Amino acid sequence: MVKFIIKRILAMIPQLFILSLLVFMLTKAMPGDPISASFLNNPNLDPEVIEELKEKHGLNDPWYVQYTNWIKRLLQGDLGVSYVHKVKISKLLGERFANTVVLGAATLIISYLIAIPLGIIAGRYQDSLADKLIVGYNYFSYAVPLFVFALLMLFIFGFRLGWFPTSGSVDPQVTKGTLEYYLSRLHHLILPATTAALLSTVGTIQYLRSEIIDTKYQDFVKTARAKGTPEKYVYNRHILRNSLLPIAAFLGTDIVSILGGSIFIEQIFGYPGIGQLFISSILQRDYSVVVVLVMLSGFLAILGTLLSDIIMSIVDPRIRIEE
Amino acid sequence: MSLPQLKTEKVEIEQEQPPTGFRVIWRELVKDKLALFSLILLLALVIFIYTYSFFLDQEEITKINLLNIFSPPNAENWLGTDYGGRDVFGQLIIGARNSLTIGILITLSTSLIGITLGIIAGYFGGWVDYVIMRFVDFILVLPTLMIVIVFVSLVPNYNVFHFIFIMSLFYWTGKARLIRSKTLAERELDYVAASKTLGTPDWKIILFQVLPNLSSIIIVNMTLNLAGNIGIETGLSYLGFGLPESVPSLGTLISYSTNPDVMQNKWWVWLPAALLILVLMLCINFVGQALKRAADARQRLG
Amino acid sequence: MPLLKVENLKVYYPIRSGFFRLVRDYVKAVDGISFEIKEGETYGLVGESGCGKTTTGRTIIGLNKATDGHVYLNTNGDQVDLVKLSRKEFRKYRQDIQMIFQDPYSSLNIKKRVRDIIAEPLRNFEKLTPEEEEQRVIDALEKVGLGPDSMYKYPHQFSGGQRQRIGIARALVINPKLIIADEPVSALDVSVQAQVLNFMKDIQKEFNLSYLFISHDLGVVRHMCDRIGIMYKGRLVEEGTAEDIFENPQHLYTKRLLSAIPNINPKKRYENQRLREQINREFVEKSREFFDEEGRIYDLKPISSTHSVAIP
Repeated sequence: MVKFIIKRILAMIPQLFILSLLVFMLTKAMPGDPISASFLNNPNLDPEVIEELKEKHGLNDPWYVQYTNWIKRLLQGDLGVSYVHKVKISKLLGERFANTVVLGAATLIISYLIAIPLGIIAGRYQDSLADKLIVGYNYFSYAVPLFVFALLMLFIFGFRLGWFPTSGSVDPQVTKGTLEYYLSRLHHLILPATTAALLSTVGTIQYLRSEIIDTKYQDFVKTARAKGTPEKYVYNRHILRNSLLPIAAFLGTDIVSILGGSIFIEQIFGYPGIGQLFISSILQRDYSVVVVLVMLSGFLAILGTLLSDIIMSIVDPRIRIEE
Repeated sequence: MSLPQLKTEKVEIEQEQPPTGFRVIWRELVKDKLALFSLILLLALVIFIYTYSFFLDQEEITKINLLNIFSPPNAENWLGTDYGGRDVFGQLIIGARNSLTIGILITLSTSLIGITLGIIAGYFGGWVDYVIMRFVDFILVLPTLMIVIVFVSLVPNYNVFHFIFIMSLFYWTGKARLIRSKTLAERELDYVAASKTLGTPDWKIILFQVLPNLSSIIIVNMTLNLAGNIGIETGLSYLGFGLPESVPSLGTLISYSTNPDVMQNKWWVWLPAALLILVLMLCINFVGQALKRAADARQRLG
Repeated sequence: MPLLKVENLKVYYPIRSGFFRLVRDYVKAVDGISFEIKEGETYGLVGESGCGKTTTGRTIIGLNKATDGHVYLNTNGDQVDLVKLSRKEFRKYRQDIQMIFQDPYSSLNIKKRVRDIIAEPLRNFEKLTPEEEEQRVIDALEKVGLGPDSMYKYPHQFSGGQRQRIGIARALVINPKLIIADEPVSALDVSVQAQVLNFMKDIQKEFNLSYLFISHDLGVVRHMCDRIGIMYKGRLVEEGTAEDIFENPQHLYTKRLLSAIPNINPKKRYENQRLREQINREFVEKSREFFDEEGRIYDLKPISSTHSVAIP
């Protein structure tokens, strides 16, 4: 077990290395460098001084020296400075990252709250009307692009019905720390989280449904039934226990896909997270921030798949033997 | 054997089809009423969009008319006009045509890359497979959407072909994986070994022996992919990182809704485009799912 | 000069494990076997499943790579070592060696018409006009007893026996000298087996073909083969004429294999069972005499002009 996890973590290193190399190359491909950008509004500065500063900050070094320095700084937690906002990127990131995490967690929870009961119902009452409706919903959520669905939700529940705020993460007029403040945050969270959750249930529902249908016809379940075990007990003890655990393994991949979707969700619902920060940084050509965000998302994605693999290896020992 | 008998046999011969061919797929489609309806609606929409847009003058439609800003739907402008007084219906048709065309082109180019690499990895195995699959694994963990957006914002003199190219770089991996796993299974069958002993070169075995046996999987995958690609393209265009301004997309029309006033009060500008995408996606997916069932014998309706 | 001479052929598969996928050990699928096939002869390779007989056949025709050893093919008086050839160079000699596969269902591409299946080798080796090609396909189909109307059908429209005959027609169409038949009837109904086997014998006489006949079915082998090699754990334990093997088996393993042939006479049932038990006991007791300390089978030693056994 431990051996597998160590192996899996070691396998992550080349992935991280190539990701960082790619991101670094992106940085070099982007127009402008920190020094020129800092003095962009100061045309009086002597070009020679700029050149001197560049030399001092190692911008004229060969690329691999710059790369190792960049990695060193990243590992020390120094993410650099935003050219546009003139603040440290870590500061810029802090609150927005927390917002995205809250939104993502809410999405995951709502998604499981919807998917697990629906998957169980569909599997248990296979081919019933309920099952057909659930399968229909699955087709729908698989087919619909997130941004179209999000806009329609915002239009209906935000603008037409006015049930939810249409932008922001909290009402700016409430004071921080009061009950009102948390309620306002919750109010701002519900619509985007539910919207994202409604479209991220496909995998879980599909998996649970087919898993339950498969288990239903396996010998140990037949035996339990033949022995006269009550139906409710058959489901709770024999079927669900076998089917529910692997759901945990989807956690990692779910995190990755929710992270990808956050760009649309945050942009559409005006929710100040890293997805929205990414788009605004691109539009403002604030490339130092862009690079950090790409690196961060890539890192989280790699971490997410790692998490999935590890959970899967705990749940299903066959995976470990395969390697 | 008498002559007339021989004749009837000939007729029979001409009608014979390979199993798991298009016939099975067609039979499955007709059985599934929803899929059949989707197919008919989809064909009608596509034919209408392409023929109608053929008679539209894009310049005429994109010309700004300040006297006719944001007029609601009326007899002349069926879906009203936008902030520049331009006809929304015309833009919708042109946007739909562009989104469909680009979606198809991206599907074709990602298929070309994905199928080629997948089949090569699966057929030859060994280190070829290892290298290709490690590459695929790597691209799969990238934050693809973000990187595509960065690329789009970096390219100077950005045009449609840049967009197709960038999309093709990142969206072939799923297909390569699928085709590889199917090829791995196919390669173990004796007909491939037979072809080798008969002296057929590898490239011929891949193209003329293995590929035809993957055709139904490829068709299913391309259909579902088309829907996905249109979704990604319109989404990126909505964010402003999709098709360039000279080539309006359905996403471009929807992006007008970023303005809360348009979203709230001038719904005719963006809502039709959003609904059209919804309908197109659902149709393509229903057809694709039916094809998928047809290709997988265990799931056939009968 | 024999048509085919296999010399000390070895096929090893590496077992890799650990993080760096290092080679830890080898599976010795074929571990140094030698035999010859003369022109017009049928050589039977017999053994239980997993003994390496199929690997041997597939290595001779180049589907697997040999780790070591030689496979000499006699082409017009020249000896060519097939093991040393690259795939490209091998192509020239493919016309001389063809293969019939075990499973008539997977060995024919379901997407191809019979005409295209049979014409495949022709298109690789001979430049023919469509008319000539069609004639050759019709001829080949005729040889295997199928009418020209089969040409435009698909494999799934034929029975297993018919499919196997299509496979044979495909192997025959470029006039090979040696056909490797890998369990050619084991996937067929017993009623069809004899039909295909007799047919194989007929075409052998007609075209002076040699067969390498790979099978686990001793009854079939006795019916088909002139000489027989018994394979066990990747090595030959005994080799001789059909008579040598069936009437005068020497090696413990051969005896055990022969005792496993079911006898249809019910009166002899107990007798047979006793015999089997006795041989099994003998197998355990005497295995020391027939296998060395590592359990490896000894090299073959001739005990008559036609008969060799693996004894120390």
